[in-house]
Amino acid sequence: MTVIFLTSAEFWADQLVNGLTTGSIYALIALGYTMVYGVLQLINFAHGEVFMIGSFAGYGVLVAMGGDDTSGAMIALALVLAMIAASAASMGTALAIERIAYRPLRNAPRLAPLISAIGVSVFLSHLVDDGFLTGRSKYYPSIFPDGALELGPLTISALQIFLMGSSLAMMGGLWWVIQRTKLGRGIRAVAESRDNASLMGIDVNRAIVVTFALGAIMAGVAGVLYGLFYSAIRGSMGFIPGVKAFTAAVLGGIGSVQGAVIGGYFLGLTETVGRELLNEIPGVSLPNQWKDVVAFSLLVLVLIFRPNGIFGQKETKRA
Amino acid sequence: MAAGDLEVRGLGMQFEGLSALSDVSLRVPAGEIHGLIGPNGAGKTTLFNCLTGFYRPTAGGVWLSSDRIDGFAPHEISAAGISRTFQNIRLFSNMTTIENVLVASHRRIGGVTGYHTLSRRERYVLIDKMRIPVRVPMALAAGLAEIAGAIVRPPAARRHERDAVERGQQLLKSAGLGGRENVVARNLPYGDQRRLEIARALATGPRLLLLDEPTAGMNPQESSAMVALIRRIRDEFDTTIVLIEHQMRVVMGVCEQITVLDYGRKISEGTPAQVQKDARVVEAYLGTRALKEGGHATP
Amino acid sequence: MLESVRPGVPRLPEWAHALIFLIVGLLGWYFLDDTWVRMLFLVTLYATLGMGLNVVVGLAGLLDLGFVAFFATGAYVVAIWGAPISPSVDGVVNYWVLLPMAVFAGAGIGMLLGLPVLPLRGDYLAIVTLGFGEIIRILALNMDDYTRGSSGIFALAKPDYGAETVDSVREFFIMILIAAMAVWFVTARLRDSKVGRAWEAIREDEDVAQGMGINTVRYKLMAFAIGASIGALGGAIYAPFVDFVAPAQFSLIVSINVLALVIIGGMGNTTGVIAGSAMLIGVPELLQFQETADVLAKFEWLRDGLNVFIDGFNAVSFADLGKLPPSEEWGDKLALYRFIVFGALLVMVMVLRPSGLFPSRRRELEFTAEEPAPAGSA
Repeated sequence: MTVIFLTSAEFWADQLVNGLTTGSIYALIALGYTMVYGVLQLINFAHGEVFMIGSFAGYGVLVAMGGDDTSGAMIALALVLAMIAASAASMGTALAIERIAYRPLRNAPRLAPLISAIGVSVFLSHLVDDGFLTGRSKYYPSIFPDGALELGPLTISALQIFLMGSSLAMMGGLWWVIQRTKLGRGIRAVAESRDNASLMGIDVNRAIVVTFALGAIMAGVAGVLYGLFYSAIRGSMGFIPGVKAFTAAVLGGIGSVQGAVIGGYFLGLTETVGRELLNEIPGVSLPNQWKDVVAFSLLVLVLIFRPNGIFGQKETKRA
Repeated sequence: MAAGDLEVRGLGMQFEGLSALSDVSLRVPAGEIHGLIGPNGAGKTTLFNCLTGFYRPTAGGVWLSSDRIDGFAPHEISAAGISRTFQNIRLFSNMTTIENVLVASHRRIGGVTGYHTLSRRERYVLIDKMRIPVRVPMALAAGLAEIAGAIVRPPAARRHERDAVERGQQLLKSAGLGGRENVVARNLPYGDQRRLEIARALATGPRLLLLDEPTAGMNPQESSAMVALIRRIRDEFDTTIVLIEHQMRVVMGVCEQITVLDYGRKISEGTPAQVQKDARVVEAYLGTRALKEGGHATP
Repeated sequence: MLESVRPGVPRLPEWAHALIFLIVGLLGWYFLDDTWVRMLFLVTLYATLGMGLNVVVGLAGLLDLGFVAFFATGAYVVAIWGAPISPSVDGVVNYWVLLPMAVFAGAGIGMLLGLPVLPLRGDYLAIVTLGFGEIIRILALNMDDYTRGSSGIFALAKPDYGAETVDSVREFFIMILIAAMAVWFVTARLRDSKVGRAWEAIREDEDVAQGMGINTVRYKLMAFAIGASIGALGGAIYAPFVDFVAPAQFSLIVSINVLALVIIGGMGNTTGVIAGSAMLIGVPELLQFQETADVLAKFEWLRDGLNVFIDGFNAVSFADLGKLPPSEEWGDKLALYRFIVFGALLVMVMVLRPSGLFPSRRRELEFTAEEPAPAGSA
């Protein structure tokens, strides 16, 4: 392991922070996948687009509040409003998708809602890209104050702190809703067994709608954070983070909320720290473009050895 | 041991710290009809799942005709000669009755490789001896040959298929489903679905047949018919039979030996008369339900 | 044989469907101009790919979201060994040698990918195949020494017959038509064999199928390998047709297209696959034709209406969405909008006909049934 320290400590600290930053975004999106999968056993393929719509809504608010010229306390207000608008837009989109494309297919064969979901995904991403933006990207105004925190070799920009902090806050809030409120209890019951829950007098439709809404709020906030961090947003921006987030959900054990969060961070770290660690092996060269290959190879490996995800519960095959 | 003997020694099955079976041993000589009883949750179906490879037992071993079979995959155990039915009927419900039977006789429909013509015992010796470098190319070649056979449909393959259909029709007839080959399984009446499950299980050519509550949900007439069918199967197909049963009339009427499970342990065994007198058995059933001859153990 | 024990359904036999398809194809080939034949080529190509994926999804019930990987494998085998321009490989191999090579490479890659994943639960297969489809593209993009990266490989060796070379759209169309017919025959034979019956049993209840003596992993692997080799066959014919092979051609949208047309057509049913291909590949292609734009230009009022809506949206959301262009530019625009139409079409067909346009008889039965219990439930 001595080889590792040939590169500087700052380098590894950077990788760690980058990993946690992308991991936060993966985790926020993964929550939506895992929750919807939990209640409906559906891969909500359009979730990446829900995230994208949130990002655009946030962009709209930031531009309306003055764009690059926003300053002072207005920045905080703009950010809060952007997140609220993003959550609302994502939620509206997710609920509309649920109503139009999924609910009529609740009892259809398993593949039908999946195709419908793929249809929504293609429709929304191309509607934005080809219909409205004609191939150009939009750029988030860079209003976030500069500045960084230095802790020994660790340098974290204010934006990264904000990003990780707000993700953690959102996840904490979600956890509270799921574990401590009546709404959350309903969701958990429906995830256990839709039939039993309805026999117990739980409004299954409502629980499903709430699940979509909660997942969408997470995705909307993730959309704003993504825009602030990477700046360029496009209609097709949801695809890769979406697939990655789903991978994270599977890694963590799909259906499990904690699993999605841990899986998200784990994937983020694997792509950065893990990939660079592999690069330390003589003869291995995995530049940043290979991070997706690393991520998916990890997924395959994990599935072979831990079929229910790293943190998933062991499930014995039953006859 | 003779062909068809079942021997279970010290079998245990643990789920995440929960012990579903512990130290269960039993011996069923070839040709016997053996009953497996016990209160709900006693581990009867779990035992079946262990015997058929659906679960991998965590302790002990299973021998069939002196071959150790625990740890085999379900399809290998089926090839070794154990077949089963399910408590909650699990037919291929969108396939016709004859197709259900044909799926189960899949392995016995001759292939081009000749592998299928080996006796079960020879095949197992062969598989055991072969190492990966031999098995992989062989499996590839067998796969290719099977695909080619399916596409080209040589006369031999047609003949094999025809034979299998004939055998299947015979089987359906003995199970009392003659003339209903083309009914989609889902559309069969309940009792017939149970019969079809038995016919399908027989189509694998078992030495040992495991029946999981074959008379569940049946009225007395249907139950008697089922008892007659079970006896006839034993004689006609020369199989050993183990059945899980709640209706005591059936247990007492058809089983030659009985094993009683409670909380995953064997608490008694013997002839129906012996078991009935066993204080531990009565105790196990008391508090949950009374054990009465001729009565239903399950309300 | 198996057919004899299936209940008779009063409709045209399958070979008649194939014959009709063949005749329509040949009529189009004879009477239509090259633009149309190009569209027919794409429809037939995707129908062929669909038949391959249908073995995996429709017959064996495995969800594969990365079918493009095998399509790309076939195309790259033909390109790397068949084009003088490709680095790292000297000389050019004859196309008719490359074609079976591509097919075997597809089957090999399919088995390599399937072996670790097929014993697992269905949804995991979906995500792993999805990832693998992307990995193949990234590999193609980054392995410059073989693939020339994003610049791609062109000037491929063309198939020849006698002294002639297959190089026109029309000749390629005949080639894909022959391939489609062959694949149709092969997949129909497989479906009606004991292999097909094993697949059906696995689709119905995997655990029970295994309990009844079916080596489920073996048959799933077989389905996967057959589907993959058909995908590679499609790629190997597509590559010399466009005479250009680059990573951008092998994006997820190909996998989605193929999966969607299989399901929209009616899973498990070849006629449906062709109908699905005509709808999902043919219709969006049609939108690129000037003739279509000319017709749509008559609906100026629709554009005005949509623009009012966009204005309103911009006003309330502070967004600056572009307005729809005047009708003279619709020809270009429609080509651009075809994915939007495609997405909307997918949702519409699924919601209105969840079992597809032409559900197979067997599938029809399944669709009226209760959902089968997932493998995990008792």
